[in-house]
Amino acid sequence: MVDPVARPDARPADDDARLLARLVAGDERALGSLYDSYGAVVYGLALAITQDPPTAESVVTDAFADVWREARSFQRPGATLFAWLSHTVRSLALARRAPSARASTAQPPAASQLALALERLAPVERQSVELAYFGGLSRSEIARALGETEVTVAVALRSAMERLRDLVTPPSSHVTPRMVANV
Amino acid sequence: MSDLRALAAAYALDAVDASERAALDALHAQDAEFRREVEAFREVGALMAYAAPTVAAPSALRDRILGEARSVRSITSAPTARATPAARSRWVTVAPWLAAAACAAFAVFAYNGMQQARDAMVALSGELTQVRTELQEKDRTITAFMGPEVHVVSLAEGSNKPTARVFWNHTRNVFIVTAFNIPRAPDGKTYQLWAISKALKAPVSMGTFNTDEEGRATIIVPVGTDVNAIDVVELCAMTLEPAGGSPGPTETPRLVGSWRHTD
Repeated sequence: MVDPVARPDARPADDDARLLARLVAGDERALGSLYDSYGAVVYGLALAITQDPPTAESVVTDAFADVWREARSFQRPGATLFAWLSHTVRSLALARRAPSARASTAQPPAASQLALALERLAPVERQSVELAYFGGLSRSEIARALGETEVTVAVALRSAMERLRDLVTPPSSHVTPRMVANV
Repeated sequence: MSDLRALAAAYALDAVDASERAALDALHAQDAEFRREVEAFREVGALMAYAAPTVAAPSALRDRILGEARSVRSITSAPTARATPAARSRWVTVAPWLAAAACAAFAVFAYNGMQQARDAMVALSGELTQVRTELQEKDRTITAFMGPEVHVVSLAEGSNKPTARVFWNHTRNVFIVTAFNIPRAPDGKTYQLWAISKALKAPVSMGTFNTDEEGRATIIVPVGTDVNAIDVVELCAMTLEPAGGSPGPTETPRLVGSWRHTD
Protein backbone atom coordinates (compact mmCIF):
# COMPACT_ATOMS: atom_id res chain seq x y z
CA MET A 1 0.00 0.00 0.00
CA VAL A 2 1.56 3.27 -1.06
CA ASP A 3 0.91 6.48 0.76
CA PRO A 4 -1.80 8.58 -0.78
CA VAL A 5 -0.56 11.61 -2.66
CA ALA A 6 -2.26 14.70 -1.37
CA ARG A 7 -4.56 16.25 -3.94
CA PRO A 8 -3.91 19.80 -5.01
CA ASP A 9 -5.86 22.59 -3.48
CA ALA A 10 -9.57 22.83 -4.11
CA ARG A 11 -12.77 23.96 -2.49
CA PRO A 12 -14.57 21.70 -0.02
CA ALA A 13 -17.88 20.34 -1.27
CA ASP A 14 -20.02 22.67 0.87
CA ASP A 15 -18.09 25.69 -0.42
CA ASP A 16 -18.69 24.39 -3.92
CA ALA A 17 -22.43 24.30 -3.33
CA ARG A 18 -22.48 27.82 -1.92
CA LEU A 19 -20.38 29.11 -4.78
CA LEU A 20 -22.68 27.46 -7.32
CA ALA A 21 -25.70 29.03 -5.64
CA ARG A 22 -24.07 32.45 -5.95
CA LEU A 23 -23.22 31.84 -9.59
CA VAL A 24 -26.81 30.85 -10.28
CA ALA A 25 -27.95 34.02 -8.54
CA GLY A 26 -25.78 36.07 -10.88
CA ASP A 27 -23.22 37.14 -8.30
CA GLU A 28 -20.18 38.27 -10.30
CA ARG A 29 -18.00 38.09 -7.23
CA ALA A 30 -18.62 34.34 -7.19
CA LEU A 31 -17.18 34.10 -10.67
CA GLY A 32 -14.17 36.05 -9.47
CA SER A 33 -13.82 33.67 -6.55
CA LEU A 34 -13.99 30.69 -8.89
CA TYR A 35 -11.27 32.26 -11.01
CA ASP A 36 -9.12 32.95 -7.95
CA SER A 37 -9.37 29.28 -6.99
CA TYR A 38 -8.82 27.63 -10.35
CA GLY A 39 -7.88 30.25 -12.93
CA ALA A 40 -4.15 29.54 -12.87
CA VAL A 41 -4.62 25.77 -13.02
CA VAL A 42 -7.01 25.79 -15.96
CA TYR A 43 -4.93 28.40 -17.77
CA GLY A 44 -1.94 26.08 -17.39
CA LEU A 45 -4.05 23.24 -18.74
CA ALA A 46 -5.22 25.30 -21.71
CA LEU A 47 -1.67 26.40 -22.46
CA ALA A 48 -0.34 22.84 -22.18
CA ILE A 49 -2.83 21.70 -24.80
CA THR A 50 -2.87 24.66 -27.18
CA GLN A 51 0.77 25.72 -26.80
CA ASP A 52 -0.39 29.24 -27.62
CA PRO A 53 -0.98 31.90 -24.93
CA PRO A 54 -3.64 33.93 -26.81
CA THR A 55 -5.59 30.77 -27.62
CA ALA A 56 -5.25 29.61 -24.02
CA GLU A 57 -6.59 32.95 -22.79
CA SER A 58 -9.51 32.73 -25.16
CA VAL A 59 -10.26 29.17 -24.08
CA VAL A 60 -10.22 30.04 -20.39
CA THR A 61 -12.36 33.13 -20.94
CA ASP A 62 -14.96 31.16 -22.89
CA ALA A 63 -14.94 28.32 -20.37
CA PHE A 64 -15.68 30.68 -17.49
CA ALA A 65 -18.38 32.30 -19.64
CA ASP A 66 -19.90 28.84 -20.18
CA VAL A 67 -19.90 28.15 -16.45
CA TRP A 68 -21.45 31.54 -15.78
CA ARG A 69 -24.11 31.13 -18.44
CA GLU A 70 -24.97 27.52 -17.67
CA ALA A 71 -24.58 27.45 -13.88
CA ARG A 72 -28.30 27.07 -13.47
CA SER A 73 -28.20 23.85 -15.47
CA PHE A 74 -25.33 22.34 -13.51
CA GLN A 75 -26.82 19.45 -11.59
CA ARG A 76 -24.40 16.57 -11.47
CA PRO A 77 -24.51 14.60 -8.24
CA GLY A 78 -21.02 14.07 -6.93
CA ALA A 79 -19.50 16.41 -9.48
CA THR A 80 -17.46 19.45 -8.52
CA LEU A 81 -17.31 22.84 -10.16
CA PHE A 82 -13.64 22.25 -10.80
CA ALA A 83 -14.32 19.03 -12.72
CA TRP A 84 -16.91 20.85 -14.82
CA LEU A 85 -14.65 23.83 -15.45
CA SER A 86 -11.55 21.80 -16.28
CA HIS A 87 -13.57 19.48 -18.54
CA THR A 88 -14.87 22.51 -20.44
CA VAL A 89 -11.41 24.05 -20.70
CA ARG A 90 -9.94 20.80 -21.95
CA SER A 91 -12.69 20.33 -24.56
CA LEU A 92 -12.30 23.88 -25.85
CA ALA A 93 -8.52 23.68 -25.88
CA LEU A 94 -8.50 20.39 -27.78
CA ALA A 95 -10.95 21.83 -30.31
CA ARG A 96 -9.01 25.05 -30.87
CA ARG A 97 -5.40 23.93 -30.82
CA ALA A 98 -3.46 24.36 -34.01
CA PRO A 99 -2.32 21.27 -35.93
CA SER A 100 1.25 21.96 -34.83
CA ALA A 101 0.16 21.83 -31.19
CA ARG A 102 -1.63 18.56 -31.83
CA ALA A 103 1.67 16.80 -32.43
CA SER A 104 3.47 18.33 -29.47
CA THR A 105 0.66 17.82 -26.96
CA ALA A 106 0.36 14.20 -27.94
CA GLN A 107 3.48 13.90 -25.81
CA PRO A 108 3.02 14.16 -22.08
CA PRO A 109 3.64 17.68 -20.77
CA ALA A 110 6.27 18.32 -18.20
CA ALA A 111 4.64 16.94 -15.12
CA SER A 112 4.52 19.07 -12.03
CA GLN A 113 2.11 18.74 -9.15
CA LEU A 114 0.63 15.41 -10.06
CA ALA A 115 3.97 13.94 -11.06
CA LEU A 116 4.23 11.67 -8.05
CA ALA A 117 0.92 10.04 -8.73
CA LEU A 118 1.55 9.66 -12.43
CA GLU A 119 5.00 8.22 -11.90
CA ARG A 120 3.51 5.44 -9.85
CA LEU A 121 1.43 4.22 -12.77
CA ALA A 122 2.60 1.49 -15.13
CA PRO A 123 4.07 2.99 -18.32
CA VAL A 124 1.16 1.91 -20.51
CA GLU A 125 -1.31 3.33 -17.98
CA ARG A 126 0.48 6.65 -17.75
CA GLN A 127 0.96 7.00 -21.49
CA SER A 128 -2.64 6.05 -22.19
CA VAL A 129 -4.14 8.52 -19.76
CA GLU A 130 -1.83 11.35 -20.84
CA LEU A 131 -2.48 10.76 -24.53
CA ALA A 132 -6.21 10.70 -23.83
CA TYR A 133 -6.30 13.73 -21.56
CA PHE A 134 -3.74 16.08 -23.10
CA GLY A 135 -3.69 14.69 -26.63
CA GLY A 136 -7.43 14.17 -26.98
CA LEU A 137 -6.84 10.80 -28.63
CA SER A 138 -9.43 8.05 -28.72
CA ARG A 139 -8.51 4.61 -27.47
CA SER A 140 -8.03 3.29 -30.99
CA GLU A 141 -5.67 6.19 -31.72
CA ILE A 142 -3.85 5.55 -28.46
CA ALA A 143 -3.59 1.87 -29.34
CA ARG A 144 -1.99 2.74 -32.66
CA ALA A 145 0.36 5.24 -31.03
CA LEU A 146 1.52 2.76 -28.42
CA GLY A 147 1.41 -0.38 -30.51
CA GLU A 148 -1.09 -1.96 -28.16
CA THR A 149 -4.54 -3.43 -28.68
CA GLU A 150 -7.66 -1.35 -28.04
CA VAL A 151 -8.63 -3.72 -25.25
CA THR A 152 -5.27 -3.20 -23.57
CA VAL A 153 -5.74 0.56 -23.78
CA ALA A 154 -9.28 0.38 -22.36
CA VAL A 155 -8.01 -1.71 -19.46
CA ALA A 156 -5.03 0.61 -18.97
CA LEU A 157 -7.24 3.69 -18.88
CA ARG A 158 -9.54 2.14 -16.33
CA SER A 159 -6.68 0.87 -14.23
CA ALA A 160 -4.91 4.25 -14.43
CA MET A 161 -7.99 6.14 -13.31
CA GLU A 162 -8.61 3.75 -10.44
CA ARG A 163 -5.00 3.93 -9.33
CA LEU A 164 -4.91 7.71 -9.60
CA ARG A 165 -8.03 7.87 -7.50
CA ASP A 166 -6.41 5.64 -4.90
CA LEU A 167 -3.17 7.60 -5.00
CA VAL A 168 -4.61 11.06 -4.66
CA THR A 169 -7.35 10.37 -2.14
CA PRO A 170 -7.65 8.06 0.83
CA PRO A 171 -10.19 5.23 0.30
CA SER A 172 -12.63 6.72 2.78
CA SER A 173 -13.12 9.77 0.60
CA HIS A 174 -13.65 8.13 -2.76
CA VAL A 175 -17.29 9.06 -2.99
CA THR A 176 -16.86 12.72 -2.24
CA PRO A 177 -13.11 13.24 -2.35
CA ARG A 178 -11.89 16.24 -0.52
CA MET A 179 -8.61 17.83 -1.30
CA VAL A 180 -6.35 18.07 1.66
CA ALA A 181 -3.19 19.94 0.81
CA ASN A 182 -0.85 21.03 -1.90
CA VAL A 183 1.71 18.56 -3.15
CA MET B 1 -23.54 -4.20 -22.32
CA SER B 2 -20.84 -5.45 -19.97
CA ASP B 3 -18.20 -4.56 -22.60
CA LEU B 4 -19.53 -1.02 -22.69
CA ARG B 5 -19.26 -0.74 -18.94
CA ALA B 6 -15.57 -1.54 -19.22
CA LEU B 7 -15.21 1.67 -21.19
CA ALA B 8 -16.40 3.93 -18.36
CA ALA B 9 -12.93 5.40 -17.84
CA ALA B 10 -12.36 5.94 -21.56
CA TYR B 11 -15.80 7.53 -21.83
CA ALA B 12 -15.08 9.82 -18.88
CA LEU B 13 -11.90 10.97 -20.67
CA ASP B 14 -13.71 11.39 -24.01
CA ALA B 15 -11.36 8.75 -25.37
CA VAL B 16 -13.98 6.61 -27.08
CA ASP B 17 -14.33 6.24 -30.81
CA ALA B 18 -17.21 7.70 -32.75
CA SER B 19 -18.53 4.22 -33.52
CA GLU B 20 -19.08 3.42 -29.84
CA ARG B 21 -20.11 6.86 -28.61
CA ALA B 22 -23.82 6.56 -29.35
CA ALA B 23 -24.13 3.29 -27.43
CA LEU B 24 -22.21 4.75 -24.50
CA ASP B 25 -24.31 7.91 -24.54
CA ALA B 26 -27.41 5.73 -24.37
CA LEU B 27 -26.01 3.66 -21.52
CA HIS B 28 -25.04 6.85 -19.70
CA ALA B 29 -28.54 8.23 -20.12
CA GLN B 30 -30.26 5.05 -18.93
CA ASP B 31 -28.02 3.58 -16.27
CA ALA B 32 -27.56 5.45 -12.99
CA GLU B 33 -24.76 3.17 -11.82
CA PHE B 34 -22.79 3.77 -15.02
CA ARG B 35 -23.38 7.53 -14.62
CA ARG B 36 -22.00 7.43 -11.10
CA GLU B 37 -18.95 5.52 -12.24
CA VAL B 38 -18.32 7.91 -15.12
CA GLU B 39 -18.76 10.91 -12.83
CA ALA B 40 -16.25 9.48 -10.37
CA PHE B 41 -13.75 8.94 -13.17
CA ARG B 42 -14.36 12.47 -14.44
CA GLU B 43 -13.53 13.82 -11.01
CA VAL B 44 -10.26 11.91 -11.05
CA GLY B 45 -9.63 12.91 -14.64
CA ALA B 46 -10.10 16.55 -13.71
CA LEU B 47 -7.06 16.26 -11.48
CA MET B 48 -4.96 15.73 -14.59
CA ALA B 49 -5.20 19.48 -15.05
CA TYR B 50 -2.75 19.74 -12.17
CA ALA B 51 -0.25 17.68 -14.16
CA ALA B 52 0.12 20.54 -16.61
CA PRO B 53 3.13 22.79 -16.07
CA THR B 54 2.45 25.53 -13.57
CA VAL B 55 2.29 28.91 -15.30
CA ALA B 56 1.15 32.33 -14.22
CA ALA B 57 -2.05 33.42 -15.90
CA PRO B 58 -1.94 36.87 -17.52
CA SER B 59 -2.84 39.54 -14.99
CA ALA B 60 -5.61 40.95 -17.17
CA LEU B 61 -7.32 37.60 -17.66
CA ARG B 62 -9.47 37.90 -14.55
CA ASP B 63 -10.90 41.25 -15.64
CA ARG B 64 -11.46 39.93 -19.14
CA ILE B 65 -13.45 36.98 -17.79
CA LEU B 66 -15.60 39.17 -15.56
CA GLY B 67 -16.17 41.57 -18.44
CA GLU B 68 -17.17 38.71 -20.72
CA ALA B 69 -19.52 37.39 -18.06
CA ARG B 70 -21.40 40.67 -18.01
CA SER B 71 -22.08 40.34 -21.72
CA VAL B 72 -23.42 36.79 -21.49
CA ARG B 73 -25.48 37.13 -18.34
CA SER B 74 -28.46 34.84 -18.37
CA ILE B 75 -31.71 36.75 -18.63
CA THR B 76 -33.52 34.23 -16.48
CA SER B 77 -31.14 34.37 -13.57
CA ALA B 78 -32.23 32.17 -10.74
CA PRO B 79 -33.97 33.48 -7.67
CA THR B 80 -31.81 35.54 -5.40
CA ALA B 81 -31.87 35.22 -1.68
CA ARG B 82 -34.19 38.19 -1.52
CA ALA B 83 -37.09 36.99 -3.60
CA THR B 84 -38.20 34.18 -5.85
CA PRO B 85 -39.06 35.12 -9.46
CA ALA B 86 -42.76 34.99 -8.69
CA ALA B 87 -42.32 36.94 -5.52
CA ARG B 88 -40.09 39.37 -7.36
CA SER B 89 -42.76 39.87 -9.98
CA ARG B 90 -45.29 40.64 -7.29
CA TRP B 91 -42.72 42.86 -5.67
CA VAL B 92 -42.32 44.86 -8.85
CA THR B 93 -46.08 45.33 -8.97
CA VAL B 94 -46.52 46.34 -5.41
CA ALA B 95 -43.26 48.19 -5.01
CA PRO B 96 -44.83 51.67 -5.25
CA TRP B 97 -47.44 50.67 -2.68
CA LEU B 98 -44.80 49.31 -0.39
CA ALA B 99 -42.85 52.51 -0.79
CA ALA B 100 -45.95 54.45 0.15
CA ALA B 101 -46.53 52.11 3.05
CA ALA B 102 -42.96 52.69 4.07
CA CYS B 103 -43.66 56.40 4.17
CA ALA B 104 -46.64 55.80 6.38
CA ALA B 105 -44.59 53.52 8.51
CA PHE B 106 -42.05 56.25 8.77
CA ALA B 107 -44.58 58.47 10.49
CA VAL B 108 -45.46 55.75 12.95
CA PHE B 109 -41.88 54.94 13.60
CA ALA B 110 -41.18 58.62 14.05
CA TYR B 111 -43.43 58.49 17.02
CA ASN B 112 -41.65 55.43 18.42
CA GLY B 113 -38.18 56.14 17.24
CA MET B 114 -36.69 57.85 14.22
CA GLN B 115 -33.80 55.46 13.95
CA GLN B 116 -35.88 52.36 13.30
CA ALA B 117 -37.76 54.17 10.56
CA ARG B 118 -34.55 55.33 8.95
CA ASP B 119 -33.28 51.74 8.89
CA ALA B 120 -36.51 50.59 7.27
CA MET B 121 -36.29 53.31 4.63
CA VAL B 122 -32.69 52.45 3.85
CA ALA B 123 -33.62 48.81 3.42
CA LEU B 124 -36.56 49.65 1.18
CA SER B 125 -34.46 52.06 -0.80
CA GLY B 126 -31.96 49.29 -1.42
CA GLU B 127 -34.68 46.92 -2.54
CA LEU B 128 -36.14 49.53 -4.88
CA THR B 129 -32.74 50.20 -6.37
CA GLN B 130 -32.35 46.51 -7.08
CA VAL B 131 -35.82 46.33 -8.62
CA ARG B 132 -35.01 49.34 -10.83
CA THR B 133 -31.78 47.67 -11.93
CA GLU B 134 -33.58 44.45 -12.77
CA LEU B 135 -36.27 46.31 -14.68
CA GLN B 136 -33.64 48.19 -16.66
CA GLU B 137 -31.96 44.89 -17.48
CA LYS B 138 -35.26 43.42 -18.62
CA ASP B 139 -35.96 46.54 -20.70
CA ARG B 140 -32.63 46.06 -22.44
CA THR B 141 -33.53 42.45 -23.10
CA ILE B 142 -36.93 43.32 -24.51
CA THR B 143 -35.29 45.93 -26.72
CA ALA B 144 -32.91 43.29 -27.97
CA PHE B 145 -35.86 41.21 -29.16
CA MET B 146 -37.27 44.04 -31.26
CA GLY B 147 -36.11 46.60 -33.75
CA PRO B 148 -35.49 46.83 -37.46
CA GLU B 149 -32.23 44.95 -37.29
CA VAL B 150 -33.48 41.74 -35.75
CA HIS B 151 -33.78 38.37 -37.46
CA VAL B 152 -35.32 35.30 -35.92
CA VAL B 153 -35.21 31.59 -36.51
CA SER B 154 -37.62 29.02 -35.11
CA LEU B 155 -35.88 25.72 -34.50
CA ALA B 156 -37.89 22.54 -34.79
CA GLU B 157 -37.38 18.83 -35.24
CA GLY B 158 -38.80 17.98 -38.66
CA SER B 159 -42.36 19.24 -38.93
CA ASN B 160 -42.91 19.36 -35.17
CA LYS B 161 -43.61 22.57 -33.32
CA PRO B 162 -40.55 24.72 -32.65
CA THR B 163 -38.82 24.16 -29.33
CA ALA B 164 -36.34 27.01 -29.60
CA ARG B 165 -36.07 30.44 -31.15
CA VAL B 166 -32.99 32.49 -31.74
CA PHE B 167 -33.15 36.25 -32.23
CA TRP B 168 -30.21 37.93 -33.93
CA ASN B 169 -29.98 41.58 -32.99
CA HIS B 170 -27.50 43.06 -35.46
CA THR B 171 -27.43 46.43 -33.72
CA ARG B 172 -26.46 45.00 -30.37
CA ASN B 173 -24.52 42.16 -32.01
CA VAL B 174 -26.07 39.48 -29.83
CA PHE B 175 -28.12 36.31 -30.16
CA ILE B 176 -30.99 35.83 -27.76
CA VAL B 177 -31.67 32.13 -27.42
CA THR B 178 -35.02 31.03 -26.04
CA ALA B 179 -35.57 27.31 -25.60
CA PHE B 180 -38.50 25.37 -24.21
CA ASN B 181 -39.19 21.64 -23.81
CA ILE B 182 -35.59 20.73 -24.59
CA PRO B 183 -34.26 18.23 -22.04
CA ARG B 184 -31.23 19.39 -20.11
CA ALA B 185 -28.07 18.23 -21.87
CA PRO B 186 -26.51 15.12 -20.28
CA ASP B 187 -23.44 15.43 -18.08
CA GLY B 188 -20.41 16.52 -20.05
CA LYS B 189 -22.55 17.71 -22.95
CA THR B 190 -23.91 21.02 -24.15
CA TYR B 191 -26.19 22.23 -26.89
CA GLN B 192 -24.48 24.10 -29.69
CA LEU B 193 -25.98 26.35 -32.35
CA TRP B 194 -24.67 26.57 -35.89
CA ALA B 195 -24.95 29.18 -38.62
CA ILE B 196 -25.28 27.50 -42.00
CA SER B 197 -24.65 29.27 -45.27
CA LYS B 198 -24.63 27.99 -48.83
CA ALA B 199 -21.47 29.99 -49.35
CA LEU B 200 -19.59 28.03 -46.71
CA LYS B 201 -18.43 24.44 -46.71
CA ALA B 202 -19.03 23.93 -43.01
CA PRO B 203 -21.36 25.29 -40.33
CA VAL B 204 -20.00 28.04 -38.09
CA SER B 205 -20.51 27.86 -34.35
CA MET B 206 -22.86 30.46 -32.89
CA GLY B 207 -22.28 29.40 -29.31
CA THR B 208 -23.38 26.91 -26.69
CA PHE B 209 -26.18 26.83 -24.18
CA ASN B 210 -27.97 24.46 -21.88
CA THR B 211 -31.47 24.28 -20.51
CA ASP B 212 -32.57 24.07 -16.92
CA GLU B 213 -34.35 21.20 -15.23
CA GLU B 214 -37.61 22.37 -16.77
CA GLY B 215 -36.14 22.26 -20.24
CA ARG B 216 -36.07 26.03 -20.62
CA ALA B 217 -33.40 28.60 -21.33
CA THR B 218 -33.23 32.28 -22.18
CA ILE B 219 -29.67 33.28 -22.88
CA ILE B 220 -27.85 36.18 -24.51
CA VAL B 221 -24.80 35.15 -26.52
CA PRO B 222 -22.43 37.62 -28.22
CA VAL B 223 -22.17 37.15 -31.98
CA GLY B 224 -18.71 35.93 -32.85
CA THR B 225 -16.54 37.41 -35.58
CA ASP B 226 -16.75 34.16 -37.57
CA VAL B 227 -20.52 34.49 -37.79
CA ASN B 228 -20.42 38.21 -38.54
CA ALA B 229 -18.08 37.52 -41.44
CA ILE B 230 -20.73 35.47 -43.24
CA ASP B 231 -22.57 37.46 -45.92
CA VAL B 232 -25.82 35.49 -45.91
CA VAL B 233 -26.83 32.94 -43.31
CA GLU B 234 -29.72 30.79 -44.46
CA LEU B 235 -30.18 28.25 -41.69
CA CYS B 236 -29.61 27.68 -38.01
CA ALA B 237 -29.16 24.22 -36.50
CA MET B 238 -28.73 22.78 -33.03
CA THR B 239 -26.67 19.73 -32.07
CA LEU B 240 -25.61 18.08 -28.85
CA GLU B 241 -21.85 18.35 -28.35
CA PRO B 242 -19.22 17.70 -25.70
CA ALA B 243 -19.06 20.37 -22.98
CA GLY B 244 -17.41 23.49 -24.29
CA GLY B 245 -18.65 22.85 -27.81
CA SER B 246 -17.06 21.39 -30.92
CA PRO B 247 -15.29 23.04 -33.86
CA GLY B 248 -17.85 21.37 -36.13
CA PRO B 249 -21.09 19.42 -35.61
CA THR B 250 -20.47 15.83 -34.54
CA GLU B 251 -24.02 14.65 -35.12
CA THR B 252 -27.00 15.21 -37.37
CA PRO B 253 -28.77 18.39 -36.24
CA ARG B 254 -31.59 17.82 -33.80
CA LEU B 255 -33.29 21.09 -34.61
CA VAL B 256 -33.15 23.16 -37.77
CA GLY B 257 -34.81 26.38 -38.91
CA SER B 258 -34.59 29.16 -41.52
CA TRP B 259 -33.70 32.72 -40.61
CA ARG B 260 -36.30 35.40 -41.31
CA HIS B 261 -36.79 39.03 -40.46
CA THR B 262 -38.95 39.79 -37.45
CA ASP B 263 -41.15 42.20 -39.40
